[in-house]
Amino acid sequence: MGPFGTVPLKIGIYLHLLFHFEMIEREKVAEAARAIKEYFSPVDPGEFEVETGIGAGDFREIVPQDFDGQIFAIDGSNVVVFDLGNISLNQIKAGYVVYRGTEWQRTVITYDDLFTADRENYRQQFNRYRKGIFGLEESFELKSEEELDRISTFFRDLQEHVALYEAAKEAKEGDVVLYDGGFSLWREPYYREVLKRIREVLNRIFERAEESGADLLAVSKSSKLSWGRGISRPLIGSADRFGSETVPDKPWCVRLSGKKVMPEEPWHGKTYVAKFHPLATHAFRIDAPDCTAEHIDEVLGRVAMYARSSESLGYPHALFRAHQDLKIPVQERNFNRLTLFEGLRVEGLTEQEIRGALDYHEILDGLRRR
Amino acid sequence: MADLSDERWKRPTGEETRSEEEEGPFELKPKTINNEDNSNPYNKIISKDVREYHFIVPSDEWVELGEIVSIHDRREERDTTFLARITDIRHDSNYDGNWDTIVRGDGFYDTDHIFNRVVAEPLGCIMKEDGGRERFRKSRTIPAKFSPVTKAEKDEFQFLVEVMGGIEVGRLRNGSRDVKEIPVALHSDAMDHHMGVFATTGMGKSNFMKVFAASCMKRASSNESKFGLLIIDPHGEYILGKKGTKGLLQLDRHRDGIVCYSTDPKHLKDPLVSNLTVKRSEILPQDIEVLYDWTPAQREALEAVSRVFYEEAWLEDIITPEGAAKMVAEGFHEKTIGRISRTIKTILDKNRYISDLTSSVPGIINNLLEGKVVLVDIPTLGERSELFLLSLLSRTILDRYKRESAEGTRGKSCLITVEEAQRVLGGGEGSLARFESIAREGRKFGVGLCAVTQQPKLIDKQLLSQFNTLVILGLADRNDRTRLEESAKQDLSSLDVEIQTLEKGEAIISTLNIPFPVPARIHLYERYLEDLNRSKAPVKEKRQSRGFNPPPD
Repeated sequence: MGPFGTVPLKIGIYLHLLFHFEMIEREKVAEAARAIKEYFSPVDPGEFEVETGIGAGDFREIVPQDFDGQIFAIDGSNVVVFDLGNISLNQIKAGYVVYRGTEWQRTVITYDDLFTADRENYRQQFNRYRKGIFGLEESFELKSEEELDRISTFFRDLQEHVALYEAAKEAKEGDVVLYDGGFSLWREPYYREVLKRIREVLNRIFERAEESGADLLAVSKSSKLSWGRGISRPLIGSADRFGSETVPDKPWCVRLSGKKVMPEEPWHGKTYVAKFHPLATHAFRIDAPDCTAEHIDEVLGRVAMYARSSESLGYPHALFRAHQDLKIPVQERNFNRLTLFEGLRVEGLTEQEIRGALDYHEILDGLRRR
Repeated sequence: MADLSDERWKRPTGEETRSEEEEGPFELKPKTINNEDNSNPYNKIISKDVREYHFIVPSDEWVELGEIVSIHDRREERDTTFLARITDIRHDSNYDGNWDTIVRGDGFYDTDHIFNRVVAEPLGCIMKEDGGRERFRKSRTIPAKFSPVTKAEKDEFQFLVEVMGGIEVGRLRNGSRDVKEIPVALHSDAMDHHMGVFATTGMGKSNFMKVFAASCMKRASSNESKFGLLIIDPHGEYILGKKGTKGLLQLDRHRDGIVCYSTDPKHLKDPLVSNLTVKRSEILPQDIEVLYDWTPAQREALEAVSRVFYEEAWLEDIITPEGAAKMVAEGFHEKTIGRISRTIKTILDKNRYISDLTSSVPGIINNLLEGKVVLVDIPTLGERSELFLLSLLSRTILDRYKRESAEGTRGKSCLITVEEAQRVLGGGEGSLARFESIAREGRKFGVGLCAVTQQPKLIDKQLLSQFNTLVILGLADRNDRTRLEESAKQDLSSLDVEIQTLEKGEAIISTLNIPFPVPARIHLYERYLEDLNRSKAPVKEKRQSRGFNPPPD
């Protein structure tokens, strides 16, 4: 039976009714499925090479190799604690974890505090860190009217970059510093407006890593990179299929920079796709500054060596742990929210006033339908 | 967690956000979490309620069911240490889903996220009273969250030393470890509240009984005994031991604490062992009644005997033609009387200790009243003879204790041991009224039962509930355990798995005056014997202390 065929039995009848009366029409969903299927169709190596400039010979085996150094992994998270419409209060957490081999050493939280996303007052909060950490005097400015959640996202990025900088400072020669995200941000339209400001920060980080002798890699779980004519297909996914057939049963990598698919190099680094374990479910986009890209095979070998944990097979384990340790649990967000409400009551606000101040979406979200 | 401290809210309304200059030079203050600090999640109370405590331990840490842990309450002002017994150990982790059935890769790196969850049952808490004195009491609250958990050591068990009795049977056991400094000893006062010794074959019932008897001998020899102990031994294993084991007579140092009566000529060579005799005149029809499955007519005839014959001569008279005629004249059928006569002849024939002239029975009872151990050794007799003797002795003992209690002249209490107790305490058809009545009312006259059995499930539930001391040495049958759990004075339900997994010589003892069922390792008799023969001054039984109530009447 196909995925949208008639489901027998009583429960099937109920589902059938749901499709008819409460959900999107089945035919529309089926149509979407047919379209999405194209993304998963087998990769024709010839077509792939013509379109991307990447041939079978470009895929190289990664040889996992042990090393004595440490692995640093940086991550962060942010949640909205209270949204007033024109001002929102966010909790932001950022930091890094440190591993030696398979042994967790410590987790360092560099920022865990509230951030007020306010169009009028955001600059001061950015500039404090930009100057204090990176020595950048130029004020952080958004050029247009930005949404509040974008301000808090940028601030979270800044805090992750602070953590990255601190990790690069602590790291020693031979260590590997992994960042959950990307360095080649100019491809994301989202960042265009503040790209210059962010690149100033990244340059400071690259310099710091180079001084330490540590290798820096950004590992991105998602990417908008695409290829193909007519229908745009995900580049990482297609490279994954092609690479896994070309270098079977082994970890592998392929360089994108300089190929037809990525001719532009407006930063001092290179971009790759890597699969760290043959049984991994995903390949990842890797950004490496030039000083790391010079011996990328060795560095990827070190990362692959410790991307073999059962918790997160094929993903650098330190990044997995960083994600876990630096995630803000919903209980913590709720606790902060309640504390905030308590604070508002101390300030003399009534329950009704507090409720009235909430963004109406929050009130709607609070009314759950059974 | 984000800082939402009150200070931020106390700033006057309308104050602007502080400028960079006002905040002074920038300084990043990272917070580091590592293995050495408070971030270690192990061995801290994380859950759950007043009845059940949870904590986690690393997967590779060895913990065992039955282990007692100590929890120091972090609320300093209370200075309280909770004790809890481990009742369950489970695999657990911080991950959801089927992560453990699809393991791939090199294994788990973050082993601190995969652990064992330990469930413990609260036993009580040790609180410091004014003046620094420690007192153990039932806990009415839970330890503070994240209170540290450690394995309880001898210092935490010191309070037990003060609540133990004087009849030592073993040492405290914490899981598989022995706490050698803490003896486990029963209270003499609890003995006429009946005791049950339960174990499947080979788990150490006989060893326990010998250790128990040896401790009683020790107390009797130092004139500290508070009760006499009667053991009827149909297997001949207690007097001198059997198959490489040792017997009670080998406790040279305290031989004056025991008197022995035997039917075995070999054992009679010892001057301390007397020949067992029972006078015909001491045997009553009801002693015969317990031995066979009589028909109603036969039972009625036996009940009429005391009316037809002189009490002291009925046994001789009824088997004569004249005696039979008297019974027929009373309306009983000739065949009925014939069956009774034949049975009595068989009893007299098989039980050669029945005599016309002498009797050991008064001596047995006198020694019990003096608080001695009385061993009746009948290895050459069968099961019916044992039951017959047991019935006769328990009747005469109960009668004498009743009489002397009424007169106010009674000596020390006594404890009658009944091996394979399910034969006489099964309730209904399988029960003997005499033992039932001792179980129900013997306590009033100072007579207790020590029921030894491997099948407590066959003992009547109501009778079992009269037993205030339970010595459980390992029971594989769930029905046996359930019966004990239903009848015990202390809650044993959480100990089910532990009882099932007890090894030879390990026991759970639930008794009066000791605040929770105590895990014990029973002394090996042969080693205990050596220790006792070497030891010097006897240990005096401790007075009850720390506010524990005396046993209920």
